[in-house]
Amino acid sequence: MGARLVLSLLLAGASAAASAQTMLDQERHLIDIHSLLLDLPPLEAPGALPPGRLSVGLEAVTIPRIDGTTGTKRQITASDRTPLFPRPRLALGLPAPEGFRAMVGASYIPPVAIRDVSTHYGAAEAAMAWTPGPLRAGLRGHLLYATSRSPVTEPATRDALETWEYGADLSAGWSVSLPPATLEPYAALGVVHLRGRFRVTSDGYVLRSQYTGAALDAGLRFVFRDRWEGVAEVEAYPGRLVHTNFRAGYLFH
Amino acid sequence: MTPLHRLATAVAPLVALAACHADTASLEPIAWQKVAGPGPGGSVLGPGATGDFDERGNFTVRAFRDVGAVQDGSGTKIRLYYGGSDATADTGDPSCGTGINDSHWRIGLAESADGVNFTRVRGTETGGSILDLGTQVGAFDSYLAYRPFVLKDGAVYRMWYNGSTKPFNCPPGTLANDRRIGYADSTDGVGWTKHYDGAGPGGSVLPLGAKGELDAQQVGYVWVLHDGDQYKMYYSANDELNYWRVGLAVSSDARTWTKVRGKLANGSILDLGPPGSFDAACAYQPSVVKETDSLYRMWYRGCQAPGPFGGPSRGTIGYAESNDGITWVKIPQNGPLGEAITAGATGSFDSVGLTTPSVFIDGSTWTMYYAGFDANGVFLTGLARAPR
Repeated sequence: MGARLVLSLLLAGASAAASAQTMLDQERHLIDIHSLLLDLPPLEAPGALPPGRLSVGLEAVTIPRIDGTTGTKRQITASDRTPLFPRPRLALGLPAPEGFRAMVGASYIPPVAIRDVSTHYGAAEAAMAWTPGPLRAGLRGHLLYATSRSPVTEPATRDALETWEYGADLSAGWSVSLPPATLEPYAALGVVHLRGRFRVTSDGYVLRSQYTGAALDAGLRFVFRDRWEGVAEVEAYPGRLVHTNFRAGYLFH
Repeated sequence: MTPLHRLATAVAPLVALAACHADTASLEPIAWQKVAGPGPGGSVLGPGATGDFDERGNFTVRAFRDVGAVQDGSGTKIRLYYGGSDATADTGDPSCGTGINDSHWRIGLAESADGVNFTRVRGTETGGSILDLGTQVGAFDSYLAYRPFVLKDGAVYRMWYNGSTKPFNCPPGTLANDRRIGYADSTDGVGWTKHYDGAGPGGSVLPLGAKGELDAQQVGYVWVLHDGDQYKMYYSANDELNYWRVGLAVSSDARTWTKVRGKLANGSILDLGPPGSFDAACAYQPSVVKETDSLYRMWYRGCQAPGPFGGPSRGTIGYAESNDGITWVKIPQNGPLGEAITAGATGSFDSVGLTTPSVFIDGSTWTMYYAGFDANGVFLTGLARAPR
């Protein structure tokens, strides 16, 4: 029943009509979509890390096909370059009162150019979860800053997208013990706010977009022998983006 | 439920949603609807009275809602500035016919409270016009003065207009080959003072471009925005092959202008369309609205093919958008070839072609006045509106 509800919510968000009248709306949608791809999703069940537990992970953020049409032009989008991008991410469990768990996390991508695209990215998060038993509930806040350089308006140029983004989400998860593994399905409902600043290198023109919207996540965490961790998650920003994130990690005790 | 079933139940939604997607925005053309007026063929302004400066027709319009400066003091009315054709035939060339071709053109004003029913404001110049022909020796506007663009700029009304020393298309096949841009100003929008102190020929506003430039032969049909601390002049530019495009000039005082070379053909900012498009033969007469900091809209006249005597003919209204007012992208609209507005049905005043769109935002409504002409070559003014 819960999975159906989550599925319905996600599909409703995915099918939300995105309509606009002007080329400017199309351009701002593209800024929003490319910024939201960088958003730091939960990609973790609430209360996953006990105090002192360090999770070191590598994530894969998938990029769906993005139609770069603006007016009668066609911009080069992220999906023209790659179907996914990697993101390293650390998370550390912190001391917390009885029945609670706390964590902080961070992610950093150095500005290394791959296929003419470079992203300099830093993100941080902090979360608190109530963990009375198998059912868990969490609250998380996150923020990021990123600058990306890539060909957008013309193949030979390097246009720049600067993104500020922050948000918060409430999540709930269920821990199912299947020795030697643990399964933890979870879902989250949040809100995200972004400010994107796109600069066209050829003429210096700057286009800005601000967006505030819901973020819906549903995922499954798999832990093997309390060391190896894998997470798959679907993330939806209604009216903008639906995509998947994957994580493979190792838990240091 | 076995653990395997649990796993399958949990994973199923993820698999179902594997078809991820990005919701990019779709364009929604502005839904223009022509509004029938009380004039002939559904026009909003019919021909003037016998003997008046606009006896044979009115055309090349500029309209806007003027707040607090109308003749009867009622507060706000739509002012329609237009070119009018009298019934003179000074050339004596019978091949020019009895239409507007060898007549003199001057500038007039009409006002309306509802935007549909207009009353002429009789000026003190020839035939009731508000801006007359130039009379000084060598004046660039000695035969034609038309296509007024009026900008209410604080307490000053500024007018840029087309002037020429020659009649239009008389003898047939010559069109008007001397069009220049004039400037006048006013404190009330009715009484005008011309200034012949520009950098162009005869003191007109803009010099012609060098050979090969987009404006090597003629300039005219301007639209001026007061955009921040800068004035932007979108002007129509005619090259040596008689193609019309849109060029840009900027100014800090609205009097001294510097041309800004565009990235398109011959330095234009709006170029002709590809063969077969509705604007393959001309793309000019811009009407520009800055709606937000990053959204400029332009309506313009497009011609699909040159007329039988060369130069643009017929004409429809096209549409383009820009983020900065400099780089423009044409946006297809609802017409069969992507036009915003096309010619009217047989019997309507605009059954053959459209010229000089003039667009402004009137509350929650887009408002466009334009000139249309029929098979007899009679030019009158029409109105179209669209929800914003």
